[in-house]
Amino acid sequence: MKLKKWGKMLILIVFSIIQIFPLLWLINFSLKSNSEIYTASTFSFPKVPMFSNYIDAWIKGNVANYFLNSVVVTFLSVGLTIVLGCMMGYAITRMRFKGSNAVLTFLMIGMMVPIHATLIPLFLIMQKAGLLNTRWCIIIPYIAAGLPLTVFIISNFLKSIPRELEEAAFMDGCGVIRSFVYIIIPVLKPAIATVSIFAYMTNWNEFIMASTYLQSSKLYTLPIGLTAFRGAYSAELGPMAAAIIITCVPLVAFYCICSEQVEKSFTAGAVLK
Amino acid sequence: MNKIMSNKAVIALFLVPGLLIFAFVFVYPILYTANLGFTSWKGLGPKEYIGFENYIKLFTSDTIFMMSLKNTVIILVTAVLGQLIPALFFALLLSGMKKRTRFFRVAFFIPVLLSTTAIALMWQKIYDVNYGLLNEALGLFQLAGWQHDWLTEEATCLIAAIVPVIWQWIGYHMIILYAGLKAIPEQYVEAARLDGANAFQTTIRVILPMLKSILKVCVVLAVVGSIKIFDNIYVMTGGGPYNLTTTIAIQMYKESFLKFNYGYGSAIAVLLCIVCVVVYLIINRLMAQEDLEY
Repeated sequence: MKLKKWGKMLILIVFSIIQIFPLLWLINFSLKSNSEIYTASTFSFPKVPMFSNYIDAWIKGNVANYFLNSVVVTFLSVGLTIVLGCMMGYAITRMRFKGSNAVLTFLMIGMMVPIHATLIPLFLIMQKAGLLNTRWCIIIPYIAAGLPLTVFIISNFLKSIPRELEEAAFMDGCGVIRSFVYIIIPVLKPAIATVSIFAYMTNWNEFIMASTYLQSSKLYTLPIGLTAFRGAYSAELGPMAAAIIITCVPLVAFYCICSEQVEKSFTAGAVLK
Repeated sequence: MNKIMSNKAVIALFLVPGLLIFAFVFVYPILYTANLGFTSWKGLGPKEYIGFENYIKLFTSDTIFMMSLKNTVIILVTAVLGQLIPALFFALLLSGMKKRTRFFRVAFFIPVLLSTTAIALMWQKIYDVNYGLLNEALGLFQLAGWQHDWLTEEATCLIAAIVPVIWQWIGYHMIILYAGLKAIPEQYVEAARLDGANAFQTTIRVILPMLKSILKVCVVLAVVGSIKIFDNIYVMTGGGPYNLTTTIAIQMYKESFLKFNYGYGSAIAVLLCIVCVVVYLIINRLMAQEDLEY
């Protein structure tokens, strides 16, 4: 019995090494100079850690700029998704009108469609609307892509909240909008956390739309920035690895701080697909 | 109350902005794509309708597309099995443990969070012939004969492109399955044990049937994800060498945005959509069941 337990442990440990070791290796790699990378063993530690690789990536490689773009795009798109999603979820579950179920079904069908099928027309529309060289050409699709999940989770959550909560406010003459902002939104916080984490992670990492619509390198988000970096500085191996690490840090850090919540978000996000 | 809640102006205010964006990004473009698929449009001039010619060409004379179709099927099978079987195995192992699961969950889950671009670039370095981790590790274990130029040799490029995908997503499925396993009430497993079932029997006869709806979620995620696969492979190989690692989505992207064959690219996009929906329906049918209440 003891042996079996240790066997299980061993399997798990070997597998976690497979999952984690490449990342640790890359961190080590990112601190080496080119000559060390080519001549010394790939498993050796750098003789002198080259932290300058990070500075090179951040400033010379424009990663600072890409990082900032990613932050702006992610925050705007997640924020707007949440605002619009809460409004829609509230209207669908609480307000009375014909076709509230139809709206939900409509959104759910949209979620099944692969984003690839919208790439060409959206590209043309954005071009016509003059949005192609602005951040909005990816923020708007990100909002739309995030809406179905948000609406679904928010309206499910709202169903569990008793209507009496608002009734008292209405008695006192409070309007729908005020009650929505001051009573409902605060109650929705846990659901909002779930949805925004999921949306934050997906938007931070999104590649195909960003690479199609963002034409000017000034607007590149990190995933596209990384491929641009590879194209421009293919010989600078250390800084390249540093750029990859910089891209990953915000997500991993966030996960380490609130791992339970992140896992919950991802599970909730999956169940709907 | 009823009167307040059926205020048309407020309903419109809450619904219309979101629906407009949704229609603008999804509904209209999809109809537009379906329409473009019947044209030979290359981005300039009037659109010329050519019926099903694009689709006929795809299946009769476009050998690269056939290659992408074959690759997508290979990726689908290997990636789905490669993700789900280990994920289920590890989830079962972890759920059987009382303590110390947190470290493993975090370790397995970290790759899920990382952007596919970062992972693709990282694996490019791992596979590198000059300084890559993989070849040197093989040398270390006296397996120098197994060393390859993984991403450029014809024999290894496709499998080398799939491994990172599996590596990244195992943790995702594991976390979903683990949450599902934790939700199964102890007494069912306990009852099976009392009836004399061993651990293996309990897993096959009691736990797996109760996990079916969660397993379905994982199967859908893995299957649809593999059919749509683009960035992982595109960033690493660009579909090369000699289109040996191209997929349906990569072909769609190349035709549309590198060759500007918008009509032809749209036809591929339409096919991709149809395949996704059909496969989704098939999985639903195959794994249909009454919801268990527990």
